[in-house]
Amino acid sequence: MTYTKEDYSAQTSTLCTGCGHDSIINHLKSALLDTQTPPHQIVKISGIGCSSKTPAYFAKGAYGFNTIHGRMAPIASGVSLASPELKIIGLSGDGDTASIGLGGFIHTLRRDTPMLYIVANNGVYGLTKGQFSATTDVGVPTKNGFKTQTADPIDLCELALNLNCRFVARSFSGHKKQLTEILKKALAHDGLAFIDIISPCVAFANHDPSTKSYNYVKEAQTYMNELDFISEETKTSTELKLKNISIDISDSTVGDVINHSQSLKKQGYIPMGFFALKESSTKKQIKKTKNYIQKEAFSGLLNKYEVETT
Amino acid sequence: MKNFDFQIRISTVNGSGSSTANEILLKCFVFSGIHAVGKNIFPSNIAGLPTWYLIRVTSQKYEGLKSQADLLISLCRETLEEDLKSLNGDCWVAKESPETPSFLNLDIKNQVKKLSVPVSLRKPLANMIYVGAVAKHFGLELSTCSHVIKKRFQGSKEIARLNLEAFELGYHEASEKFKLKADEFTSAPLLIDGNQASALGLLEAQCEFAFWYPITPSSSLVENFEKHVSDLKLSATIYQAEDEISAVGMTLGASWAGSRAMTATSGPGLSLMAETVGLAYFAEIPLVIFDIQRLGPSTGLPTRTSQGDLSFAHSLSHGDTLHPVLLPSNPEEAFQMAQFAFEISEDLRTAVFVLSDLDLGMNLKISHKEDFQNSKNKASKKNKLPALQPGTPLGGFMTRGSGHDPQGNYSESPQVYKEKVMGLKKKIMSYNLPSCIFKGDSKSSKLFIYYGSTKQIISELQDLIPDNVYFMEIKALPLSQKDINQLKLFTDVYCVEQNRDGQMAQILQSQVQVKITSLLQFDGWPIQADRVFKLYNEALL
Repeated sequence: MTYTKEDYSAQTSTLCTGCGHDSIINHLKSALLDTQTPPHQIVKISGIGCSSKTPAYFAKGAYGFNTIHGRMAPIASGVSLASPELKIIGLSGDGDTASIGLGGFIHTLRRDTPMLYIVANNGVYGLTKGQFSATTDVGVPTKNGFKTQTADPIDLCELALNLNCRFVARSFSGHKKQLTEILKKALAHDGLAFIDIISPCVAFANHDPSTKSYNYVKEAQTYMNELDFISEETKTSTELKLKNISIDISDSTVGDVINHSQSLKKQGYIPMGFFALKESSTKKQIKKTKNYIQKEAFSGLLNKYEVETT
Repeated sequence: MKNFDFQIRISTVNGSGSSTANEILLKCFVFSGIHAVGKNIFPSNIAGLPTWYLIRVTSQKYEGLKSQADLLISLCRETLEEDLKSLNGDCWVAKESPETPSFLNLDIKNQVKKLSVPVSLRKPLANMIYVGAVAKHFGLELSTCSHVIKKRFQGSKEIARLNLEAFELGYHEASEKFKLKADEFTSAPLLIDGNQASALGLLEAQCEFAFWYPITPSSSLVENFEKHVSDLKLSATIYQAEDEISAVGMTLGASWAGSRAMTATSGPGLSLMAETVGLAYFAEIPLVIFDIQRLGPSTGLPTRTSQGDLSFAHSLSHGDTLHPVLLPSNPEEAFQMAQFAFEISEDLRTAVFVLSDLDLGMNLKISHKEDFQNSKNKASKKNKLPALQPGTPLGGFMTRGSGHDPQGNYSESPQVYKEKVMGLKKKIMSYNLPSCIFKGDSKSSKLFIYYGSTKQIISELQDLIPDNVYFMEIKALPLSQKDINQLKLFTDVYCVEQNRDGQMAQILQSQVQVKITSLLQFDGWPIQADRVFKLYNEALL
């Protein structure tokens, strides 16, 4: 059975024209098509927010669950334990995961729930019209200029790395080739594959000096490491400003990678690429066997509570 | 002695081994064929605070306590004054002092020195001395009691021997004052608590997942289930989540994916679960939650019983919601309803609550083996509708908590919304939940309504009240129209419950035009018939 492009399509997006999330979904569709993931075996799960609307926009034959704000992670953990054979794709945003959902996110990383976990990161609450999120950078004002973010942002990739996540990456919605390749690799990962995708919000966070606007990201992005699938054609000076490749994650410690990420950020760059990419030797999944209690065993249990009449 | 009604109040300090000793004393009575009820009143603490154990033995086989004790065993100086206030009989103190009236002096501290044991064992063994003394006082046979002790400590012959020795010290020191008439057991009795019974129910229901967060007094439910699963090598997964929001979220996810899953909690956890329950209700996903109630609000009194979550659970979450609530009143029902909850939630695709409480959940009660034999109601654990099983080819749908049409598409249409919520209401009201049980004199003008663990005082209350009374035992909410119609026939209606605001009365009065007089005990101690009778008399004035 060969799945076609049609199998991975669904209803038209209702997001703003130019929204980064739509690009992410297009790249996801390509990745699914290339990997031929059976749509009926896909669970597409989300929280609440603009990015959480996206399950309706791909793979109409998949099983979708638009849950509640900040709770996609634990609910996905439950789905995964119940049906470990299904491919879970979790779609969330920076508000949904880095603010309200942070606790659930951290513990789901500890559990290493097998799933593809995407955060469409635009540094803003889009659906409620422009408030700060926990990933809004210091000094960035709201679109109307009324307030400026003063609290430090959360770097979800560094956080995931700290929690020993074995697949951590950051990308950009505008990078078709790179993001599609990262997604394909993520779909093949056996644990939790986390991707922080900068996804500009044209309505509320595309203004200067938002650090998640199209212009800013294109200028500031840089690569943590050599990605063998970044071909020469994408390395144009107008698209990317590559620094010299400096870290080989295969033999770096968590500390090394984080230091590297932070030094790049200090220089004004947005580190992209892989933070972690590790295979696992221990399978954490639970084997589902149908082993129900037998009548005799149940009677044996009842005997424990019995009052012995002398 | 054919007719008897004795209540023993044992006042000790927690963490001293008294809880084990008290349970042994209870079992000595039960194994001797004497109907006994035991209630453990323990503090929210690990060691060092006062704790009480009440045992009541009655020839009428009453299942609740009364407000006064006939015998006080006092090993806690701190509470002696207070304990004496509810005493109407002898007091045995561990160490005589000028303040205490002249009572039997157990002299436990010196007695225990007669045993050649390490100092660390003196404290727990000392408790066995009073156990022996009480057993002798009520004429229990040494052979029966020694059998109970050996069974309790069957893991170590030496420990059993030491406990028996301490027991015999007290036994031979005291004298027999009463010889209680033992009863023949008509069927194999069990001593079991509600949480243990629910855990057995989960096994029978073939529950596949338990996601939980530890909270008094629900922890023992899941821990019992976990132990059974491990001992029997079953394939259920018990997972301790990081908080109740995650616990109920994981339960919801597993249920959505077609597995049988549950979570157990108490008041504070239920508050955290509210939003997720609304999602289950609106998006129509099965969800089973056990709430073992304790005194609230807020942290409240974690080790005291209550029926204070009734209204909260029934309409949990914002917006218009209404959930089936099952109200077990004894361990057999805790066992049955644990299974029935899954059936209901799967048939209706909605959230279902089993509302127990600390008294029912954690105090041992005499039950019967045949009430735990279940063969006809073996409900299938499979998704009732294969089309709703994620992974089914040619399937595919969107589940969402936002407004949606019958196909699951996002919708903001007012008509679609209205049809949806009216449909949800109709769905819940259409189901055959366990009906009310009516008993007593149906020609009486007085109706007494009760539910849950309050059942334990009803037979005694019936004996205390001189008038003819009709009783209505509510087993589930919402009530069927048939039961509401029965209620409508009465004008002199009372509702006995264990919360401050008469929550069941409020719920009923919102459906029926009837004035209900609430008889409320809500101080966290197990409900007592004589106190409720007093309230009834006060209400008559």
